[in-house]
Amino acid sequence: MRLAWAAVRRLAVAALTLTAVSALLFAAVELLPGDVATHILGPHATPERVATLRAQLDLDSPAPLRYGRWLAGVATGDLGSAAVTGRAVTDVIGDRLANTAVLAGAAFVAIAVIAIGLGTAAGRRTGSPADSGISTVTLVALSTPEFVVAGLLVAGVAFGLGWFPAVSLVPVGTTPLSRPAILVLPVATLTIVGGAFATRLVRAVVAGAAARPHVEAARLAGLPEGQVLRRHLLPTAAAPIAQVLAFMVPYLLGGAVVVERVFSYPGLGSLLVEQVAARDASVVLAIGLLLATAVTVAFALADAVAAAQPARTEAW
Amino acid sequence: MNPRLPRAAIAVCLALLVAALVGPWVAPHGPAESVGAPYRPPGHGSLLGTDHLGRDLWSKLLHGGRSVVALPLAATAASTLIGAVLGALTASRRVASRALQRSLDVVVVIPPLLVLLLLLYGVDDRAAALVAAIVVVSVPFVARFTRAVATPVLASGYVEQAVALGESRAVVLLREVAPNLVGPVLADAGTRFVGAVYLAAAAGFLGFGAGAGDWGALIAANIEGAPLNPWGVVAPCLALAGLTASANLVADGFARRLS
Amino acid sequence: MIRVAGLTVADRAGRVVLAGVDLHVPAGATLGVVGESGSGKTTLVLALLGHTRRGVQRVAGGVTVDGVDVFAATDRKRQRLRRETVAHLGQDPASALTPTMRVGQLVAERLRRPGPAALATALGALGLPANRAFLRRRPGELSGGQRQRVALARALASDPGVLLLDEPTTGLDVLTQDLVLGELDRLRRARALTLVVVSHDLAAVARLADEVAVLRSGVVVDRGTTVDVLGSPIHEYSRRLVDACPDLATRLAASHRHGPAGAPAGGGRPALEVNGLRVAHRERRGREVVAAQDVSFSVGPGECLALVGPSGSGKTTIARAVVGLHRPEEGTIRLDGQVVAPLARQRPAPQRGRLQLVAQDPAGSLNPRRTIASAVARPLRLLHGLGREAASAEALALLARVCLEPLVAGRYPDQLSGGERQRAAIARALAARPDVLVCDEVTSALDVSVQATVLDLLDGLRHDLGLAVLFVSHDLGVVARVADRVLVLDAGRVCAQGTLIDVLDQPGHDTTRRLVAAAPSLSDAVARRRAESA
Repeated sequence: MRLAWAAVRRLAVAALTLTAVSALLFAAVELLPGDVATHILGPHATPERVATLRAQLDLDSPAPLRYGRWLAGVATGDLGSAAVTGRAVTDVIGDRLANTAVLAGAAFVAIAVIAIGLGTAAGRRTGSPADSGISTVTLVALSTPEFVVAGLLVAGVAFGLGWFPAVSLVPVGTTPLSRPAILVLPVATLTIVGGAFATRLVRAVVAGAAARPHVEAARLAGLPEGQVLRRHLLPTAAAPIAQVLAFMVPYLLGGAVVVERVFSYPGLGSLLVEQVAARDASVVLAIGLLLATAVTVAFALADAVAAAQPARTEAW
Repeated sequence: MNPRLPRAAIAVCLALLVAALVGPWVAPHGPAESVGAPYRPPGHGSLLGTDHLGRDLWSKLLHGGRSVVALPLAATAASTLIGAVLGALTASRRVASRALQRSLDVVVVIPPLLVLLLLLYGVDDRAAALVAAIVVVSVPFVARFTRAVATPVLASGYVEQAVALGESRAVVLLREVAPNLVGPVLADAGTRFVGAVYLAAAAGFLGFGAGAGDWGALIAANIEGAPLNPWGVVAPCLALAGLTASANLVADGFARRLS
Repeated sequence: MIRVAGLTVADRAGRVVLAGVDLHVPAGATLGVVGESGSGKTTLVLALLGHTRRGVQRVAGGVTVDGVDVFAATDRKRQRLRRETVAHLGQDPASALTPTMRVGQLVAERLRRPGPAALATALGALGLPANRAFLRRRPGELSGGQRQRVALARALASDPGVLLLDEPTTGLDVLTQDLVLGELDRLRRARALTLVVVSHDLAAVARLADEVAVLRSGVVVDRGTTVDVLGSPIHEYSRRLVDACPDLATRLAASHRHGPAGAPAGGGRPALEVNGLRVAHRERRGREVVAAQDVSFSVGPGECLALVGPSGSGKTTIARAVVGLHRPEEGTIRLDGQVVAPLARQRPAPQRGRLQLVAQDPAGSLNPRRTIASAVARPLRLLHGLGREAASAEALALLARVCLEPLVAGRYPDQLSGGERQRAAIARALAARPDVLVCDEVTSALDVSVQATVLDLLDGLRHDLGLAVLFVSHDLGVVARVADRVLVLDAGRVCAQGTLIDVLDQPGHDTTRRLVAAAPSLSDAVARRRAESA
């Protein structure tokens, strides 16, 4: 109950933050030299044609007004239309959003499971053989950039073993879930690097929690190790672990860009790169806002977990 | 942790840093110079063979380190300085602290790559854009971290005593507080540096690198020819991985020694 | 029941923590192990459970508990031993309660046969309710005393035969100490437990244990019955420990014989005069919590006034307000007749150094990144305008006065022992050339023998420099050793004030009576045992 209340409060603050973010993004896009009109018509266009197109695309109104109109649109679910094609932004983004959500979501779950599992195994007794082994493996994994891991997976698993396809094109109109095989390598790439990073962080959190007096007391009380972990150690580490997982969200959304490129996966990341080049404000804003929303929600939830924790017992 | 590991890590890290920075001056061939057929294996005067355009890989490697190392290094130094000052200043004042927190939260929420992309298309100079992106993305984290470290220091007995003795705020911050921040902030800077290198390499891989043919771009360009000459991919990978792994170990070791 | 044979524990660098310890505790017997910090007491207690902390390992010898070789046993056997046979209470048992778990869960998981009836019995044995509301509470929602009792209930829930106590009184204020010791003694007798208690608090050990072993740097140097070893010690180290142990009863008796110690040097103006002081804390939501009110006292030059009272009586807040670190709501502070501004930084430079504070935790008042010499020299340079050379020389002189060797000057705080750190803090306070020194619980964290040296030092400073000392403490034994006059606080108000004899010997006020009764006294404990065995 406490958790729910804390979550609601923080989501409200998050909404405010997001509004600020949208303003920031809008301003950033405004500052880019050139605009959609010149991009569409090319560098040889005559000034009159540019002016006409600008008027058509409503680029002449003052910025705050356009921002206000856009914001109002967001509230009602209308994200505007893409300047180049005229299609509704929601259409343009729609499929891609689903694809990226599936990719990032699957990777997130995998990372959470691995990080908590391995991180706990390593952190509960630092210096143990398990700890050294896990620490070394994770260090190697996270020192390798995603595109390298992707390349190795493609070379080894796709070309070499032929288990999974090297390219993850999703036919338009279908979801990646209909052909799960194409998800495996992209998700694996994100999981290997992100999972290594998260595992190290969770290990540090668990090691810190294991050093606290109540964990030693639980062990000295003769409780089996599993019970010590489940009931005494992990619950007190819940808040920082939630923070670590929340930090994975912006990582995944950013790493997705590179992975989508390597595997030709049609997601938001590659769309973003195209649209920034095209200087299409509405699409860029919409994608930026979506990504920022996902990150904000994740942080808000992690903060809520922290707030719901009982106060630490004070020392005498 | 094996005590010899951090020392070896420092050595590797420094060696790679030096190689990256000094590389262009010692490379046997220019970055655009063709020395033979594409994807030739090592031998015939080229240590690692040739890349997809027949250029000497060893030279390309030495040329390609700068933008992926020097820029992140400079950017991290700048971010650490700015972030540390911001963090220390806001640690003491509750209201400013809250304001800083909220504004930093806004920046933290925008994925780093988006920041980079926006800056890259807004600013012509790719190097400047990369540096700016790294600074924008790192400063919030450094500030937060510094604030967390500075808060207990500001609440400590010795700071209180110094204030009671009549030291001015500035002197207290400089003489009593700052020495306690240097260690942890430097350790954190190691982690920031690694993140900055990742960003630079990813940019290079995607084709937005600050220098032509940096390590990330090398990997992207030579992937197709990997079966013929794997060094085109393996060499820059090892260089990148070696740098980030050793930097991580050094930062780790440093942080451990402080706690 | 418990047999320790030739136990040797060393750290990775080869430094010995325990050397060839031999102990035997038959079933139902009680053994106390006394020693100062660094003697290896905690390592010994943990070894009885077959546990060694990180960085140390068992090198030789073994421990057998109830026939089980704890080190050679399998993990499961060891866990079973810890669950069913042996119960352990570490320092600060309240912090050993997992904050996210509920009281009911915490106690129930140690029961042999789980069930609501068994749970109710376990809690009832310590006077705790077993209703649903209480069982659902978390440690953070309990009072300090309740937490102690829950921790005890948890330890005893498994009906163990052996109870191990590690520093049961550390960190507790006098009244709670008394309660806890009483509770432990009662439970031990009621259940015929085998008890091993390790502590540096000789009085506590004397109260709980029949036999005693003295541990020094990992070696058992003396052993015997409590009455012998702590009542009439023969071994030189034991004698030193017993002599240094502050004891209210002994001191009062001595005062009767010799008259008040260190009579204040002549009349004239008091060095420090406080009138009508009222101090409060501001909570986050703007509420004001009054820590102390209507407090008035004075301290003459060369005199020592002690501020005593149970925890939460406002002693520390008053001390901080006097020195100028906490703004009082009302009241005046006069230094040698002159009114001073409430906050230290508002005072003019010549005045600032005259009131100095030495806090309980020297580690918090010494900058870890500054050498001792630099820390001590700073007030000299700042307040008295000394140049670098002169300040450095005087700093060394001050360090010598507090009996710290010159080598310490170039060291950092974490390279010093607790006692050395406290003395360095005193040196730093002296560097400001104060007229009044305020000491806030300066001996609470120190070993008994180190305590004695610090108290001797304070005596010397009062005598040589005419320093007035305001001594805040909850330990009446220490107060009796060092103070001329005493002020008793209760819930922020002054309830008694006068000379040591007047206030403590025949306590008039209820609070004073409680404090005196609860004051740990080694001689009393030993006398009681003698009476019992006679």
